[in-house]
Amino acid sequence: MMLALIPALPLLGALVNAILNKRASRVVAGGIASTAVVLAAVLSFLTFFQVQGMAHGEHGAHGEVPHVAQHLWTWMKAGPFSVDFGLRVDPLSAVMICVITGIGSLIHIYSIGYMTDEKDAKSVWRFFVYLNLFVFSMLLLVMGDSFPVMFVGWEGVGLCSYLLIGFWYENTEYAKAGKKAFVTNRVGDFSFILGLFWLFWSLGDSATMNFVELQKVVEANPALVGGAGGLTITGICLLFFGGATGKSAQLPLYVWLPDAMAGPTPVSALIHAATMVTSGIYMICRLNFLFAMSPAAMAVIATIGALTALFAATIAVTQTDIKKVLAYSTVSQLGFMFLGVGVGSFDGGFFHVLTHAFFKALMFLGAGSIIHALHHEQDMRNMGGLRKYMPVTFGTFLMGYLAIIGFPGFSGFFSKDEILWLTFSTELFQGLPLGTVMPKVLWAMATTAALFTAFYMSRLMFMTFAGSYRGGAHGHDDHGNGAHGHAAHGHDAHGHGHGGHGHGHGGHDPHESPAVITFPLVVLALLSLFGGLLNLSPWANGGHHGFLSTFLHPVFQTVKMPFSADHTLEFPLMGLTLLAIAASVGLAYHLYVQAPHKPAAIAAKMKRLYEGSLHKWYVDEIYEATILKPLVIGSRQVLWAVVDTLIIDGAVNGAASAATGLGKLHARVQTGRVQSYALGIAAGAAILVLAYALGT
Amino acid sequence: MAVLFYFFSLLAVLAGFVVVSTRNPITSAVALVACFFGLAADYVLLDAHFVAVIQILVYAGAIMVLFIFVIMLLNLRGDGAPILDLSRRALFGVATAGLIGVGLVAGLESARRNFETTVPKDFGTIEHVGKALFASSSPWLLPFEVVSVLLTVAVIGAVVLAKREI
Amino acid sequence: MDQVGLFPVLAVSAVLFATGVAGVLTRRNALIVFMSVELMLNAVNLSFVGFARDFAARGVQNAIDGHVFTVFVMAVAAAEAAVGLALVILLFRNRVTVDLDELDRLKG
Repeated sequence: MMLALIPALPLLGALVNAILNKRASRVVAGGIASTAVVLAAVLSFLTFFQVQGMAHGEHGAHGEVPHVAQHLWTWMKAGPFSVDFGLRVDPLSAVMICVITGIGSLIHIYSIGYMTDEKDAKSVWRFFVYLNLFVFSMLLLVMGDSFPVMFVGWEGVGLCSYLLIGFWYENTEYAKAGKKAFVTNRVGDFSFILGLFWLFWSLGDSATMNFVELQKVVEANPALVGGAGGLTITGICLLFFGGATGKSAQLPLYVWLPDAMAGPTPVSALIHAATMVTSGIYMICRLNFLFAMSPAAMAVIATIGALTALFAATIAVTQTDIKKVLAYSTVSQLGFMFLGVGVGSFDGGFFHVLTHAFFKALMFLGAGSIIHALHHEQDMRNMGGLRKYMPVTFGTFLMGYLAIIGFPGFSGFFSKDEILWLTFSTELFQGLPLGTVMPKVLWAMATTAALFTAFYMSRLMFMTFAGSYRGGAHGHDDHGNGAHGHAAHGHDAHGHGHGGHGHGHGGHDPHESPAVITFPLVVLALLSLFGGLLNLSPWANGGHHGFLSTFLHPVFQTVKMPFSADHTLEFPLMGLTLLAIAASVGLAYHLYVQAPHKPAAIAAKMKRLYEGSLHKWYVDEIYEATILKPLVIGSRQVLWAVVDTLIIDGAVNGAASAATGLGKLHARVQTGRVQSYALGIAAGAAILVLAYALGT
Repeated sequence: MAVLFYFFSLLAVLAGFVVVSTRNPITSAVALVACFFGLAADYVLLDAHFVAVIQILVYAGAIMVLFIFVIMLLNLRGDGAPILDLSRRALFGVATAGLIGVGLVAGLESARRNFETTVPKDFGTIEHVGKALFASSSPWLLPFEVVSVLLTVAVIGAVVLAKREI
Repeated sequence: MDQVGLFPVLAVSAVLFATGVAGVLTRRNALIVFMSVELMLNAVNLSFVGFARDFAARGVQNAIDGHVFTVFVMAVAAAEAAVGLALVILLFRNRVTVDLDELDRLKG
């Protein structure tokens, strides 16, 4: 089967929509785009089953990774070194392409119903072009069989992210958000490229860009990268991880993700929940054989993951914009994923990628449904009681909520608990300083983050769906208490445009969204509910590993991650966590349903903490002051004024002046008078004659 | 006859010197004529009888007349240049010329010898030259004819250049 | 009669030639420069004649070619004089001067 069709179909869709441009209406453009992705999804699933079939057949033969490959053309060739543009789908990529195209299809269909704003009518074709382009890039990223192909996709998703975040580019704030995303991504990409260069350089003559060959080379000769645990491989892995922090929004490069909520909600669902942000995890899983050689790098990954999880969770508890809460929740959950891979469970972290894609995309789409129904209202303080008006949205959102807090039986429960237990029981860091206590500390941080998660998600649920509807009667401009700055700016432009629209009807109640929006919600809700079956933990599966772990095993089989065999604490810890989560939910219920006046009072008592959390711990401001401002000033005062104007212009103009001067000097020979020319001739003759005379 | 040779050569050289140094172009032209006469005498002493006659006829008789005609026609006065021109151009010019002269003379050391006394009979006569030009085996026939064409062209060219517009 | 050697002939020729060069390079009046050129040509003629005589005395075949060449030189000098003077006249007609220093329109 033609693997190339899978990415080619969305690319074709983008081209068709680009050619049609303004002539295509929302439905037509969306229909074309969705068809392309749906077809790609069908092919992806077929490929998945094909790989699965191979897995069963070859499982007996050791070492063989079941895969489907297609070589497209030879891209670069320099002597013995060559890079091919090829696609390779092994179990890891097979799952990814199903997720990308599957959830992608749902979101494309959803977008047809979502992008109904009149002002978008002429430009909605652009939206679908970018969406298709994004799917294409993401597919290239996960299907590429070598670094360059993956990097094409890597850059492509960054580009599409920028285009989509700044889709409503006429608003300067949104455009800035897009720019911020791109630039921050770029910093990460720079780190990635440096790692790639270092790796390439270390390998010397046996350098190869192809993943399969790279694995063979590195495993056969670890000394090339300085031996396991050495400085070289640790540096390389950390640089690669730097790229992941940019793409997957970890500390310190996560700052673009909350601002990215400026884009349309389907974008947030697809890119910033389910796919692009998971490319960092994918990359680490793909390069598992490299990371496995450096426990120090893994420790850093795990630590940053846990830190990010906790850090983002502390911000989410105070945000009032529903999308911002979900954004910080995404950052936090990504932290969980990195924690998972960092402690050595590649399939555990990856499983969380899968479940998170289900429930986070669901919740973003649900939020989109709400935003759409309330005419671009995003402030939760103006919501409430929506479960009466939008039952389907509520029901599906509830599924996602239960999954993310880790309610037993839901998908999120299995993936998150696996990560927590594996964090606690990992023995990967034994050889490092603080190695024995680190897993426990990380577990504590992650569990705390989980508690926060339960709290703020419950808060979101209660503020949005419970109680009575607070919006519509008074205008959107009434933001109540004083803290409105950053939290509300994400939707300012949306809200004001409809100032006269929303409340002209007095008590205009919201109503459920159309089927084109609710259908994807239902599908994702089912996945959030039953997704756990994909990878049941051993205790629930009769001691066997889950389906996903088994399926992915060939990809990770060469790396042996040490985990403690002592499972005695597993259930007690799980029980403890569940109790604490229940307590968090209860606390949120108390604060936001039973005693709604209390949150403001608590905030006033803990003013510093509250303000800090609300203002994202001032990270953006710190970056602005310490990095951005000096860069701008340095560029202006030094690079432009001195280097460019003085030195470079001086050199160029100086060269021109020198040439002119030299020319003018020589022009003095051209006197225009015959006799001076004759003098020249005579002088030459004199020299010749003298030379002859002196020679004899 | 060496003395005669030196005498006429001296005349020629002095006349030449007058040619290049005098201010008045007429003086210059007349001095040039005198120089030609001196050279013609030298030719005779060197057994170049035909050439001597041609020198008087063509150079002194035709070319210099032409020169004097033109000088008169243009009604040129003196140069206005100072007698002793010490400008950079003059110094360079004289220096270069001097170098050429010195170099030439110095290079002629190898030519220090006497002429043999015997010269073939009828050497340098018009007959001799005529035979050299027009003999069937002569290489000079074609150049001779070409030169006549050249002269024709020169005449036409001169007329075309100098005529008044009609 | 004692004949003069080759060297004096050539020495005289060299001196005349150098004088002509000095005139060409030094004078401003175009006609005088022209006449200096004629002086140079004559110097050359003298040297041709001298060599012809020397070769003839030593029995070289076709020594008369020196004289033949002299004739050609004179013919060409005549042609050159004609055309050159026509140019001078043309020049004078346009610029009312034959001062070479003022003819520097090709200066650059």
